[in-house]
Amino acid sequence: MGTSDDDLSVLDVRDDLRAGREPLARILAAVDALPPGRGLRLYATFEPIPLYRVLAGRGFAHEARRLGEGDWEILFRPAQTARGAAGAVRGDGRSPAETASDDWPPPATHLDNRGLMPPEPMMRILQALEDLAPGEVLAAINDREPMFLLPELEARGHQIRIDRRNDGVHLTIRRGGDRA
Amino acid sequence: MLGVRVQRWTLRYFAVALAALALALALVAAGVSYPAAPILAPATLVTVHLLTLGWLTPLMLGALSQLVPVITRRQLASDGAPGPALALLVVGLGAMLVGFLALGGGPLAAPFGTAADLALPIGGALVVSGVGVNAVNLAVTLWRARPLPLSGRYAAAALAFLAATVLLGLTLAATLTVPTLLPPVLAATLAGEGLPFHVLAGVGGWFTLTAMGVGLKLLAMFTLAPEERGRSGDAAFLLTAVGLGLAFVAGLAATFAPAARALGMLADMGLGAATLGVAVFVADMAIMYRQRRRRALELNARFGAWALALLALALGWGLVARLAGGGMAAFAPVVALALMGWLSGLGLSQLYKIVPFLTWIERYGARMGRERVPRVQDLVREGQAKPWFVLWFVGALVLSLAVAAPAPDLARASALALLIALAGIAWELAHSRRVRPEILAAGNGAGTGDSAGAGSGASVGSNAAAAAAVPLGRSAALPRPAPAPLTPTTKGGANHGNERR
Repeated sequence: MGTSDDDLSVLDVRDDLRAGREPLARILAAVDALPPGRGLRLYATFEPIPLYRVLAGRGFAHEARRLGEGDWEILFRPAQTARGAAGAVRGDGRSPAETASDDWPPPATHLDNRGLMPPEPMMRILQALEDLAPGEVLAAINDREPMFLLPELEARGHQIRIDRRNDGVHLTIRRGGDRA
Repeated sequence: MLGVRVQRWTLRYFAVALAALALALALVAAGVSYPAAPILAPATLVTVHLLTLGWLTPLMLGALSQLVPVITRRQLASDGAPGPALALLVVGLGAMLVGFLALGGGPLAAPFGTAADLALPIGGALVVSGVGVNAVNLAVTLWRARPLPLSGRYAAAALAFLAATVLLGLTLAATLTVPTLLPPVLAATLAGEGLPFHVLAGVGGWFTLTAMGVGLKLLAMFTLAPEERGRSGDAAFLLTAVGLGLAFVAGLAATFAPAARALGMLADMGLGAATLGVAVFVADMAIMYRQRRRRALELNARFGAWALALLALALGWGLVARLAGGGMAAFAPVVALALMGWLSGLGLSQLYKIVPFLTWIERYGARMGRERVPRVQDLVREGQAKPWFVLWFVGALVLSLAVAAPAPDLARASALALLIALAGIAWELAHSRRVRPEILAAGNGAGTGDSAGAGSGASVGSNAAAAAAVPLGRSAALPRPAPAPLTPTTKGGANHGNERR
């Protein structure tokens, strides 16, 4: 949280999920109903990774945050707004990794791995990278530097920029050439 | 290279360590060494060095050679050096054991004669080189990474005590085998009063400081607790490390100058500071456990807390023994509790995390994200391992009580219990390296009734990453179900780049 909340509509599908109902139709309806420039704050019982691709196709970037056991908050923002917001966050501490990343495209996926036990952050990052196209960028926040992940990224030809900040270790990873 | 790879020698260090521990326990259980035999009997020296140089030293070195790179975020100065160093250590220890048995009154004294007399100094020299190579390798790595985080400072201080322990041990060994090496007065003083300082530097400095740093790092990592401990963490470290250093230097100096009362007082102050430091450490670890974000404790963290409790008990016991003015015999049960309950208990419980974790990284690292991989926890069966750990900690406590009594038969029985517990734990560690949960999971549909895998195999589906890869319907049994409602864009069906614009 922390960034401007006023331009986001809120949708909570946790009850649907707990009751075993498929919430996709409700989510898509809510997204279709959004006025231009407005985003969606979604609450779910787990991280709906496949949804990211669907909403990315409609021009939304996402930012996921785990609130506790079985509670996730995902902010979907129109891609332009999201970039602006990231810029605002960046303003607090000048980070070489971020400022140097102008030649990289804005992240296509955001992962918040804080609160996850090793090696889960590593697994999620490698999993998410496989879903990106070569050249696309993944942004992740970890509690600590994922030491065992780095050689694996190198072996797969991905590039990483690491930026340690107060709220966690910010990783920006660009997917390398296509898989062998 | 960025980051850290699995240190290929670490698991071999652990294997050597576990074998030496089993041998030492077998000797105590068989009644050939202390407490059934005198404390300086050759067989007791064999047991003690199997425990310290065979079990705890390789355990700590193996753990550090993997953890120092994680702590310092850089590679070891030499990735290959731990290999030959292990060979030196093993051969040297073997020779030392022969040398102990060849000491006056030992079973090998007569048949081997003077040749065996050389086994102790030669073996000692080999052990010193093996330990030295590791210590220099780790120290250089730490030095290059200054300023160090708290766990790194523990490791650095521990290495200094390792050097002190080994050098003093070597001097003691030399005076035992070559009585003419040192002036008689010096030799007699060392032989008579040097031993407690060898034990202090080894058990208090090298082992306990390493265990404190490694325990702090691992328990913080795997309970998701803050690892930098602020002022209480700094206080615990400085009081313990500086206090032990003072006790060692001033105490050793005081044995040669008994008239200098100030030295003795300094040594006592150092011991007091170290005792306070360890107490602050235990209290701070209790706070760290409460600060953790991972509510459910895994086995390593649960029994790590047991080990910390036994450290607190050993500390209190030692304090009482000291205030009561007890001699060496009064401290024997405290040392037994520190070695078996705190150090070995912590070591074994953390091995139960490290071994599966490294096995998992090694086996699945390159496959992650490209195919479904099991969780680390799918490699272990905590339910089956738990009774062995309970037996271990109870056995360690009973052993110390039996040493205190003294009740040699009870001590032998508890050593046997420890040996059985160790066998169970080792079996579970071996299981984590053998098991292939992904094969069991793949076989689930076909109904392969593998009883051992029934529990762990089923849990592969609840794998967080696997679940994340599965759509909202959460039918976790399939890796990537195509017809699921939330994946309308079939993989590779559209160009993602164009999709967004």
